[in-house]
Amino acid sequence: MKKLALILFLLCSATLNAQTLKVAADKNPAIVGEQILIQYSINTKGDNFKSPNFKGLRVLSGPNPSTQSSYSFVNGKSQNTTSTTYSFYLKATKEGTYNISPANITVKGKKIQSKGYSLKVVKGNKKNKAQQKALYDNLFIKVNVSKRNIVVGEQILVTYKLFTRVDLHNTELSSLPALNGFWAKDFEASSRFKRDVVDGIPYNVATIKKSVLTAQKSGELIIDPMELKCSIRIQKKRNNRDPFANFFGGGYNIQEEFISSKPISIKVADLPNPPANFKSAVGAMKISSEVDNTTINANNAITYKLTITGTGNIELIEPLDIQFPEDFEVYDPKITDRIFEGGRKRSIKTFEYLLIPRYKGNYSIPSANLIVYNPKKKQYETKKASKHSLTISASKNNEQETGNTSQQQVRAELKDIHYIFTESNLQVIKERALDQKLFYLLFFLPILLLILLRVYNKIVGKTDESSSDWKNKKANKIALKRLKNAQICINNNNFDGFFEEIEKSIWGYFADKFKVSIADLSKETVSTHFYSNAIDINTEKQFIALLDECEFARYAPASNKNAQMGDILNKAKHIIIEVETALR
Amino acid sequence: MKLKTLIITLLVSISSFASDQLFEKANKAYNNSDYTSAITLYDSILTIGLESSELYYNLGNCHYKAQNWANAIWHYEKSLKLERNDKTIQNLELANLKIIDRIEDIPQLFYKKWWSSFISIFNTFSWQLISILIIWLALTIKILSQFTNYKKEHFLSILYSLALISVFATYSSYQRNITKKEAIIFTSSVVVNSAPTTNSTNLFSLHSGSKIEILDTIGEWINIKIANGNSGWILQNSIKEL
Repeated sequence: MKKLALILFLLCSATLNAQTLKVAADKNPAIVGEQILIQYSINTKGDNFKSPNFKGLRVLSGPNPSTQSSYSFVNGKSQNTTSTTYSFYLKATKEGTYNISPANITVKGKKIQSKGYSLKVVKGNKKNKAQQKALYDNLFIKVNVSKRNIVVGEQILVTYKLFTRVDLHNTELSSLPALNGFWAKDFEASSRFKRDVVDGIPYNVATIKKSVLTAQKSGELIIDPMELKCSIRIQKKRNNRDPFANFFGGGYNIQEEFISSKPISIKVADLPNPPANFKSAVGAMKISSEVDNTTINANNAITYKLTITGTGNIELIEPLDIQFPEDFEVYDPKITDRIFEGGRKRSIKTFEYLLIPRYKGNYSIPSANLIVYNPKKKQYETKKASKHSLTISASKNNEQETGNTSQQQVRAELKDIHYIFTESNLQVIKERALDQKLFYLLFFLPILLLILLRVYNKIVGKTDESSSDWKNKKANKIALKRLKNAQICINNNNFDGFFEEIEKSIWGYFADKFKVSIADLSKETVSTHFYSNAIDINTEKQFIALLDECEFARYAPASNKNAQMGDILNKAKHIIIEVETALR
Repeated sequence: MKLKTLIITLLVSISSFASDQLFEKANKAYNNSDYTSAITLYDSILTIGLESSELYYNLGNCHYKAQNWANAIWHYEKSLKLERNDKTIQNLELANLKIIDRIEDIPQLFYKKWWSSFISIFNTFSWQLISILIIWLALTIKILSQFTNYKKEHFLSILYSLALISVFATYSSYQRNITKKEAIIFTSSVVVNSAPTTNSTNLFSLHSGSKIEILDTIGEWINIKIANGNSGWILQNSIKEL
């Protein structure tokens, strides 16, 4: 039992050992400017290595992974070991203690962390310093700026030159200058070395970068330093014991050094009071325009070409506002430019507009204006292109032009407020309405009078003649409504149906009017109700006669049926109207 | 008595002559883009005691050009109170685009829209006159028909219905133009509270140039309602009544 536990413990510790990420440096403490090698190693295969944070230290190279595998066969037992190493080359620029944060690696899905590492960097001795200084005297970058006080939009030429007296093996840009606030345009720089003598000391000089910067904002702008990583070949001390090494020229050490230029500040002033249509063109420019055709048929294309030539920030000029005639279809301009040295040499920019006139007539394209600020003269100049007048004749295929379908709509967009009124009818400020009480008095007084008038009429007993007219009309309407079905029978020549309908309608009317039940309908009830309602005796007679006539006609029709029907219908209508008026 | 009226008319005519000159002068200043002096000139006409919808419109234009949006809106609204004019409505729309708040109107039912456009055909005073004239005409015709055989029953009934419509229109118009109190916010930002106290909940905020309706006043607090139906309380000193 004890044995087993021991074996287990050993196994565990073995696996634990296998899974630590070790960190080691080749020298600690190190000297400022010296190359330091830091290695992270683990004796198994791992992946997903996460670099630590080398705060304050410069990483020359890394992580450089390397894997070692060994296979051994001892006493019939095979053993396979693998180890992985990630190495970093670092360099410290300042003395002090650097705490390197732990690195991570994943082994079989498990994350393993190394310990943090503390690296001490000390100052070098005098010898080291002198060496450093000698190096920087023999290897440096010089920046040339054409002008240090400029205005917004003005261009400067910045040249970076590498001066060297050492044996350069290789150079590599490690950080480009950050050009905040500038619009930069690089152009080809020859990296070939030329011999130049400065203060009597010959140097090999190469132009490593040449760019034209255009200031985009005002203030003090800083061109950050450019940093170059140089590999210098240093000859090894002659080793007399190895003649072959000297013979094959292998006696060199490669030393890596970082050199950087000095930051340069440029003062950028604002443009003095830019005019309204100023398109931030700065330099010395000219403008010209041309039209390929001045007389053309409608619906054919015209090319209007605007050319800006000169020096300055030509590349940044945006299309100008040109007031083309409203009847022209204008397409977005095709912009071509040929810029030399970022605009420091005479460059050309053209805007090619495609115009399609839609209607015939005489048109003119006004001259395009370009306002340029000339930094040399320190003033704005307005450059004018020529004006063009165009004659558009009617289109050949006429249906396209001003056809009914493609009529032009005349409309004004609501862009600005309307103009003021030039005349006004000024009045004394007062309430612009009658007081509501006064209004109601004036309105309801006549209504009251009207009501009083009506009451008076009722009391006096004067029949309202105008209202009797009204009643007649109403009676007529009722009669027509009652006899509607009979009228339909006449229209259909339905002789039998007609008399039936007339009888039904008349009796129905009577029953409704005097509220008599259908069972009680008889000639006697007619006379009693007519009498009690003080209806003229003639009306009653007519009423009875009509009913008799209907009954008679049903069994003994007259020769002219249509005339008879019309006659009876009229009589029925008359009776209803009589009764209606009498009952009021 | 006669002398007094004569003097008043004389005074008014003199001042109107002077104010016409002022108006022309102000127009010239406007043409020369000298909006501040145009505003002072137009305002001096108002201080004389004269007004017109055109005067308010021109003042609105001046304030618009001087980018005083709240003032521009106030004057356009004032001009519209006196007389509806398409130019004024369009300028007011443009000015309303410049301010911070965009208040969507509650969509109205079609008959309400018809009714409101119908009553805005005439101003309140005209509606009052129309209603009164119609009813007096009806009375005259009725009295005439009493003594003669001149019958106009149809015509009278038409007049009665017209009177009914116009009296309703008058009422609506009076409510809308005279009784209803509106104002424009003049302070750059004002918080609308839920109650007329400073420590009540803040509901929303309004910015200068927004039009509000005044529902009620308690002390220095006013109850307001905006076009989208929201209401709340704000301090009186942040508005200018129309």
